Amino acid sequence: MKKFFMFFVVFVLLMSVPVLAKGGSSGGTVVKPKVMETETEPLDCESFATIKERVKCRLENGQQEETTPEPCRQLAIATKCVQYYKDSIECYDLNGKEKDQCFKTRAGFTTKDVKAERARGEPSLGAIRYYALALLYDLEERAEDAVDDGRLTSDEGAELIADIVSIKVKILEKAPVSDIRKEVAALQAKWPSTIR
Amino acid sequence: MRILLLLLIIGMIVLSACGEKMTIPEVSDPPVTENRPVVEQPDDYTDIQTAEDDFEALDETLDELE
Repeated sequence: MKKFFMFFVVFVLLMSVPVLAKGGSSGGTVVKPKVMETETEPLDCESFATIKERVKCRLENGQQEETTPEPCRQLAIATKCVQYYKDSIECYDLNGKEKDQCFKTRAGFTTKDVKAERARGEPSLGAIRYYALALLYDLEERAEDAVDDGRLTSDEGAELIADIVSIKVKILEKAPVSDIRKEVAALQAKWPSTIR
Repeated sequence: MRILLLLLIIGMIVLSACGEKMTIPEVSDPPVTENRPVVEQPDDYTDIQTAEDDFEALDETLDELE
């Protein structure tokens, strides 16, 4: 009976293949939490002081519970920002023009391209800002995938994602576009050629 | 001996479960996509395939925020 019990335990362990999936390293909704291989207490990534440390923690340990996405924190429009993150999650499974259409629709576009949308005047600015966030989140997903398959270390990935979060915050805070451009140019310059 | 027997039984259960998932559909089955509604392909949307496409679209977007 003892032997049977031992065998059962070994069998169950063998069948428990760990599920590794990206889970939004800059916070937000838990898409799929990474399953811890050991029975240790999950690390509280929120306890770290800097964005880069929190992102690195989530890249290495996954996200166990829903948190406010990093760029939406300390914003007056936090609720709307969080809702946009939730609404646009399914867009990242799409590709090509369908992905772009999904980003724009969820951002509130009533036209198909940014120029046409801007021609609508002042009310379109909010939608255009959310669309920019979606593009940045897409880059973030690419960096996360690169960490998952070993093309980047978690430290390198966290650095890129922290830069992306910083740009998103500037966009949401309506910082001067010249400042945003500088950060985007710096990000593009350091973007590894291995991440397409 | 009993352990061997148990191993055999469990092995058979696992194999039969896997076999069920891998069943090849009959030739007469219609293609899966046949009854799907035709998805309208957008004309003027940006084709986002790579990080470079993201950066390019971001650049155009920032132009409109200036």
